[in-house]
Amino acid sequence: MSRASREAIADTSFLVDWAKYSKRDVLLRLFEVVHVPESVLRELKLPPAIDWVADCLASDAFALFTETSDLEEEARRLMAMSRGKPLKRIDYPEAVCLAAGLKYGYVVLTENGGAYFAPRVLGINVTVWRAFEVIVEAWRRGLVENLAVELERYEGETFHLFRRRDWEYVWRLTRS
Amino acid sequence: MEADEILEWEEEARRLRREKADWEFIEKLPPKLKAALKYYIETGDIRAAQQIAGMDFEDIRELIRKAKIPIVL
Repeated sequence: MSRASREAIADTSFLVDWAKYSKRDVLLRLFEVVHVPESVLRELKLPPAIDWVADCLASDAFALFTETSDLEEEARRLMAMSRGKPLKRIDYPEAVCLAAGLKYGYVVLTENGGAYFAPRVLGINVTVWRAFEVIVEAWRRGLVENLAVELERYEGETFHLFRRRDWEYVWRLTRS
Repeated sequence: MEADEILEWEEEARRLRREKADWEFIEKLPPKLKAALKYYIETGDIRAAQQIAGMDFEDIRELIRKAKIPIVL
């Protein structure tokens, strides 16, 4: 990863589920800082997400991201672009993360389909990761031991299911 | 990314949501919440489901979890 991509920005869908994962703090070892937009923070209200995010903000592992007017404008442009495209619509909190990813080179962390497919469908140059890519990267860096076991743990603890293609990718990766 | 690939992805995700959902639980919900979950199962769009249910993000996410509908992305 480049220097810029040592920083990430997370949306609500990512934080709410990732906070339930027992190895959630691995994220803090992958990124120097994870930015949390004010619009995302406003949506968090229940433990474990709100407690974990508050702890991470207190320890400076996370940073509050204030949305400027030019970034809001870019976010609304991305929302408009997503209309009529063959993907789920992008809503404001996710669009803010994509706009920040575009402007500052942050890795965008999401579990939102519209945001995840936006780079490919809208042709925008931003890196978007789901929990899947975060765990794969953690495995590549030796932060988790067994990739398949870790992905299964995440599925079980957060009630996610990774897709067949994801699992095929994991088998190829771990056999090579 | 080709439109076909997105459609294939959508179909796999929809099939998994339909298969895993606790339909007995869903059918017992008040109409607004039932409609929101059925919409979510068909589309995977949590933001629109949130609007249909009239709930905050974390509340609709919890309801999806209680209905045993997996997040597939």
